Amino acid sequence: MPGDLDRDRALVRQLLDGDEAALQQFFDGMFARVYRFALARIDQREDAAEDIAQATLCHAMRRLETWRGEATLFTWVCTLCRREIQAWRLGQQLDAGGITLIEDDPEIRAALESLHDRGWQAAEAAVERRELAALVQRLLDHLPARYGDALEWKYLDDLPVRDIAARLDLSEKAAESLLTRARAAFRDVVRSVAPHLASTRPAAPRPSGVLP
Amino acid sequence: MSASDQFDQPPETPIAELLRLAGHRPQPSPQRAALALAAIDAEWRHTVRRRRRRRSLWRLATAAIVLLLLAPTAWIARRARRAAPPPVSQTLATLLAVSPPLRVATAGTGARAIPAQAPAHGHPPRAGDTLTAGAVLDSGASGRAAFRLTNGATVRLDEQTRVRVDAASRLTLERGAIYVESDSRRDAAPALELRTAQGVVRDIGTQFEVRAGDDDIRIRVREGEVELERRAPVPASGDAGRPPTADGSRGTVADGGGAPAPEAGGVDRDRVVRVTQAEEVRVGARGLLSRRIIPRHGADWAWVASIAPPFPIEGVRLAPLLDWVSREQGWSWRYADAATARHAGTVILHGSIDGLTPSQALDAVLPTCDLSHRLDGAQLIVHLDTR
Repeated sequence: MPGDLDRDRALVRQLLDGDEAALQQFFDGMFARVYRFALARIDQREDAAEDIAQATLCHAMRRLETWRGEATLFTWVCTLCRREIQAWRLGQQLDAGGITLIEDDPEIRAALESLHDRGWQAAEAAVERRELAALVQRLLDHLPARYGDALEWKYLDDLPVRDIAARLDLSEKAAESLLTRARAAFRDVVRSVAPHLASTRPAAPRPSGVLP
Repeated sequence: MSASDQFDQPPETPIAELLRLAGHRPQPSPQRAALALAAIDAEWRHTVRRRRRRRSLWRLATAAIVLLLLAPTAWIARRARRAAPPPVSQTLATLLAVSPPLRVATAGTGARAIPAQAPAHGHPPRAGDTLTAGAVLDSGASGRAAFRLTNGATVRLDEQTRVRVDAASRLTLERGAIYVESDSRRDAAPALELRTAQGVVRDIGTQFEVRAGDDDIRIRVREGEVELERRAPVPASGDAGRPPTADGSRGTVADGGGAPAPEAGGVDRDRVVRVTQAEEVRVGARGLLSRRIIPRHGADWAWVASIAPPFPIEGVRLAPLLDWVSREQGWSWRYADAATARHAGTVILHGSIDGLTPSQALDAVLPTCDLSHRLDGAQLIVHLDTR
């Protein structure tokens, strides 16, 4: 998205100029997302994911001047993170190829898209619920920085716009606007990966222990 | 109904339900995030410095070219040599005392967990070695050390402590305890900033100890005052459903003297806690803050004296030695009577007390001056030796 690239370029300029606030903004927007990016690829090893996320962002800081602005900053950081993961897996004597995820493998992506014809009930039967949840979480991480946070605060934590605005250090109007853009961006990304999910209401989750 | 109210209506949309189905995304621990931020901050500063240096060199090179066109060749050559000095790492601190084992890793080794490595100087670390930005000191199981920052503050490491020198006025305490004695001339240098996983401690002209655990912090102030700015909640998705963080974002105040408890789900706007002389403040794993009065002397401070930087006594009068010993021990001092004061006024010290603790130094020096001492609580009383 051109707007994201512009924002990323401005952020990198500020970072290279030594702006302390930009460092905090970079960290806030990246660390947790990179952590989850690593976590999903190293068998949910939390400690190692934290180490890898730190090493990745340190590496990004050292090479900041080499970011050319052709892909978003997060995409670039994910490329660095993949190398850190590979190094970690080699160190652990694991297959350096690692785990393939939705955003890595076009075939899996196509398979998910094929769920379109089967609808939500079929999707539940075909794909583990937690896998779907993990997919949605990863899609959130691929939205522009803070969009995922804002959506979680709004729809999972039920925070009013006023509180979200305070957390983002924005006016209420700006927070509303950000939420609108975040929803649209999320809908777009869901549509691009599994179109039916964005338009069909999922079945209500069944309470555990209750037979259908 | 305002626009914001409309936005707050329950959104029964597939998007909202998808988000609910997914639940909260996993989060790194706040403590680890704080350490990561410190490491990334150091790398960023290094990058910015390198870039500035390079820009300066470009500017100087451009200037040199202009001069080349305008000035005699010999003058230009001299100027060009000056324009591109070799980069030199800036010394930020000097080791004053070392009790092995101490390991020092230099800058550039790192990002991940900051491992202590073999001595960077080619020999075991020793007094007089200099430290540059990014140096990490690890005192191991039984080592201790003291160093002086170029801003004038002296810093001591207790056992099992790891600390990084980020700048002349900034350190990162990864674990363990340090004791800081800052330069009392407040106009001399900027205040020391000590970063920990639980927050940032700023010195306001003082002697203090900070002990950082995995998820708690204890600050004890012997003299003066320090300020603790507790970590803000790690900015990521909402904290509902997650345990309270160690930064106090959901903490309560045990004695009512510190930061107020934040409103549920709100932002803690008062994260700054002041700790004054003879006070101890602890912030526990769940953000619980407690405060108590403590003595400025005694066993809890013993480790500090054990690694006191050496005090040179050659040619010094007795009073400065007594000042030093009292400061190290948390005592005050006085002469027992006028006769003692007159006699002490004539004493000039010679020799060295290197390797002695302040208390041992007192025992070693006073008898050679026909003086003795006793303690009355926390007051050192020096009197003529009548034996």
